Amino acid sequence: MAIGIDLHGVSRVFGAVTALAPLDLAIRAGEFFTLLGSSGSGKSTLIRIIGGFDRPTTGSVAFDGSDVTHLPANRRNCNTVFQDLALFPHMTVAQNVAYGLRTRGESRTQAESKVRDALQLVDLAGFEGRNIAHLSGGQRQRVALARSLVLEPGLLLLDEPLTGLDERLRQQMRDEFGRLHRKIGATFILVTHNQDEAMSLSDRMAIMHRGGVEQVGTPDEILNRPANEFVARFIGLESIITPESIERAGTDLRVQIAGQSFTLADYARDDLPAKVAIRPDRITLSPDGAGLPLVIEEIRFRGLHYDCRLRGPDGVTLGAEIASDAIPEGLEPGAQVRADLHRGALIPVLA
Amino acid sequence: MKTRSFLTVPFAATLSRRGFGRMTMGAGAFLGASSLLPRIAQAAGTEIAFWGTGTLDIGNDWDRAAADAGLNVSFTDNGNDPGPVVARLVAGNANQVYDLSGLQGGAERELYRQNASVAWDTSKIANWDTVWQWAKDIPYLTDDGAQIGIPCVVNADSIIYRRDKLGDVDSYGVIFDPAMKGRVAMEDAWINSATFAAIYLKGAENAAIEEPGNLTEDELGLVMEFLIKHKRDGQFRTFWNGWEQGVQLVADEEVDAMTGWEPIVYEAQRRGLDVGYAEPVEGYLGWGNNLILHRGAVERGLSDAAHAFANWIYDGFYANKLVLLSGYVVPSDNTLDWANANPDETDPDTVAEIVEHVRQKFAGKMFWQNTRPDNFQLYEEWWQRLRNT
Amino acid sequence: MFRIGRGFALASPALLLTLILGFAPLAVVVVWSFWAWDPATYWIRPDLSLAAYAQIGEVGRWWVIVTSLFKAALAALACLAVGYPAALAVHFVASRRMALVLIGAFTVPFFTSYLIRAFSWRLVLGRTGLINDWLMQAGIISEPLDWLLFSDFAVMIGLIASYLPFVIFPLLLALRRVEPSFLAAAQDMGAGFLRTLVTIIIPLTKPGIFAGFLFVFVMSAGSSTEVQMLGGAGASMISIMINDVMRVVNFPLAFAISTVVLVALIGAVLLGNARFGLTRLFEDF
Repeated sequence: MAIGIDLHGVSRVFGAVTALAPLDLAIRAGEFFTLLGSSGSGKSTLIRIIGGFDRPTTGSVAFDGSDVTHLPANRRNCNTVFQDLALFPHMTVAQNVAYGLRTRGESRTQAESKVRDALQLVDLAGFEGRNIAHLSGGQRQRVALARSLVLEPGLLLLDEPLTGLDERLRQQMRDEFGRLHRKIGATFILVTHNQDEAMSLSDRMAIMHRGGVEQVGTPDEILNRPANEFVARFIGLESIITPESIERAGTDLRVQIAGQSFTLADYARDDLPAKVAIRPDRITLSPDGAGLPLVIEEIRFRGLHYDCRLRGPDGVTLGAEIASDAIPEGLEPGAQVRADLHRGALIPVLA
Repeated sequence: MKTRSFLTVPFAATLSRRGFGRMTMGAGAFLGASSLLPRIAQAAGTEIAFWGTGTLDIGNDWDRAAADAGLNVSFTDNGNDPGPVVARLVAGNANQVYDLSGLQGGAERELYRQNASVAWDTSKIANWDTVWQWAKDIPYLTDDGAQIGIPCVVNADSIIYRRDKLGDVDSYGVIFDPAMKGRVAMEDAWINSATFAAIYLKGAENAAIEEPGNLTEDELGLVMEFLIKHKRDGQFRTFWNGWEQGVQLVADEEVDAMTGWEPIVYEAQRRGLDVGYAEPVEGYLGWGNNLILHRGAVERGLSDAAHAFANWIYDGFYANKLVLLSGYVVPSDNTLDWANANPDETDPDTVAEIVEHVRQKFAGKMFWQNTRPDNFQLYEEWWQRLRNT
Repeated sequence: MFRIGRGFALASPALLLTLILGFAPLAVVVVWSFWAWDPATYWIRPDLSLAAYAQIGEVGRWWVIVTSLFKAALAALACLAVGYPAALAVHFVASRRMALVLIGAFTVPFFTSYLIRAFSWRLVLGRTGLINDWLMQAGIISEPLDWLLFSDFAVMIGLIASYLPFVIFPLLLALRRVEPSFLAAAQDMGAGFLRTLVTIIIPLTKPGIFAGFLFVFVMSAGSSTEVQMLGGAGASMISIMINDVMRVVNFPLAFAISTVVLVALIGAVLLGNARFGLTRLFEDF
């Protein structure tokens, strides 16, 4: 039922612009896979190729091992929830949801019961006769989902569907995606530029940049073992420094920063990282004590925490998130502090 | 032809009753009004507003009337539809705007009896003696002895035909010959086509028709049934309208013969086509375009000026211009005299040839066209029947 | 409330002008069509009379009205058949530049007079015209086809050529309602092009289709030049008939014909609006 996807050497060139450099990617059947990238990264081009709305310039696309490269969208067992939802304004909710069923030639009565089930699935039972124009943003979102899900696709493509929503609805719908994915078991591919969305939903994800894939992995892998500086920065690890030295110590790494030694635990790779990133949430500050001697450059209140920017003697800057109740008294820009790095604060940046 | 859309008719109705005719007659009326403006500038001479059939216009050469007779003539096309012209003269504002009309003959008596026009005093027209007698005898120019119209130009119409295809043609029979099916045309106007058919039926089939230009109810029925039958048989390629369309029909071999105006023959010959104008044994359809003196002109004290204008028309200059322009002839001895006296301003040989040609046409068998036959409403009804066949 | 009031105040001069220019003359036409022709004054007098309407029933005048409206409807449908694919191409396929060229190609013929435009078809469709020339040179026919010109076919060609842009522009306006993502979504759900056209594009452009139809229908119903120049012997159309009637100054009959046609047209507009929602053409959802 769920579809596995194999992309081989897929590229897409528009005139002089390379939207997608040749790439290989395998997405497993039933997984929730996210394409994460900023605009222009090629993620939308890629999902259009997977969906069948565009043909790759080179390479092939296979669904469950069979080549679908030249199969148009209407003949792929795959459905898309579009960024603008693309709900048909001249149809009711039920007519929208039934559209694909009727296209397939299913009988009116059969379609009716499936539509009812699909609307129930997205918590819109009883909305059949409603006019699309009179629905709220979240309701429209659900109709679009139901419209795709009612077709029981082996693969559901979600093309930045949460973009237009406010934060609260966004969270709600995000949970909804997760719930539906677990319930239906189809392969889901989400395209987004929002890393929280990607991290919280994905089984695995691909970080895309300038038409290429920077890294593929589970959220945990990407967070703890970013393949390169770009990935590290993209997922929010802004403080990247080059330590004075990095040495193996058993299964750990010993990292020398500003004359002090820190441990990076459980490093399994053969090659040593050149740089490390410092997680802003694994730092404690104290007026004196252990840790790196730094100067506070800026401090901002964020409600549950403070965002601090710290500068070291050799020009290194660090970001730190300090819980509101853990901030030492009398900290203000210019003040000298000690920054202690907890276990897990150091993330190796491989390239 | 002028009315692009029936929606213009309702629009016209916004205007007052007097303004009505002005709108429906189209742009001509507005141009007429604006052409009155230069008259203010011209201090010398008397202003005369001439409302005539478009073919009577000689453009900038009207200036000659100022030099010759002290008349500043402004010409306005009246559209040549007798119905609307009569309506505007009787019920509209034409009598206030224009001083005299030049109209295809037939409506004179009606205009006179409706008090829209007044009789000419031919004693005030010095050139009247030079006007040919048969032109003075055009049947509708007098009413009870009053000279209610005077002839301006005359010609006689018949059949335009391709000599290279048909040889010589001398009968309207060619129009109704089944062998010519789909290769002939007539004009899209009962004034011409019904009269031609009547001349043919009277001359070739001895039909009991008194006056082809003014058919009785029975005669009209006979003539129109005849046309309807031929139309139903697919005899006519089309009914035509307007100069360019007429020329195109002949020039592009759409038809081999059609009833129509002689200038089309000249134009076709100019284009190198072997086209002739038939001398029909049944007789020509003769027509006069006659000058009518508006009551309004007299009321404005322009009676003498109007008579002076008429006199100038017969002087010879105007006649020569028109002959060379369209082959239409002002029926006066002065036409040739002036040509011979002014060879540097005209072409005496050509003028003489055309004048003689037209004179010959009227010397033979001919019938006068009448644009306002007594039964004109019935003509229109029959024409609708013909259209809808 | 304030905004509505102000909008109304802004629109009221235009409304007033429309009423004066549009409805007052129509009302006069309707009233006068019930009056009688007075031979003494050459005008009409307020004698309530249905004579003019009775005359419409005679000598096949009503048939001219019926066939004119039929021809106009046919011309409008034909314009849609030609114009719809053209509008689709301009909207979906053509680049901005190409779209401009295409729209220009539809509009440029309108820089010439309608008389010349209609007349030029005689040179194309005639016995010695372009089409017959080609067909004969290609050896497809040996005798020129007579029915190409001076026929209802020629009239239809003339009408379509004259009024085609009047369907293209409302269609382009209506096509703005069809988001490209709608087409992608339909395709996504398995619809091929035809099904997308029938279930998505056409329903969404209904107001434009109707507006285009109405423009061509009204203008064709009021046309005379094309029929006169391209039609067969004595071919008629409403405005030609009105011209004939005006030639013998039968004003009440001319008004009665106009009234009947107006009622038919207004009926068509109201019916169409109720059915196809003309007002939605200007709606952004």
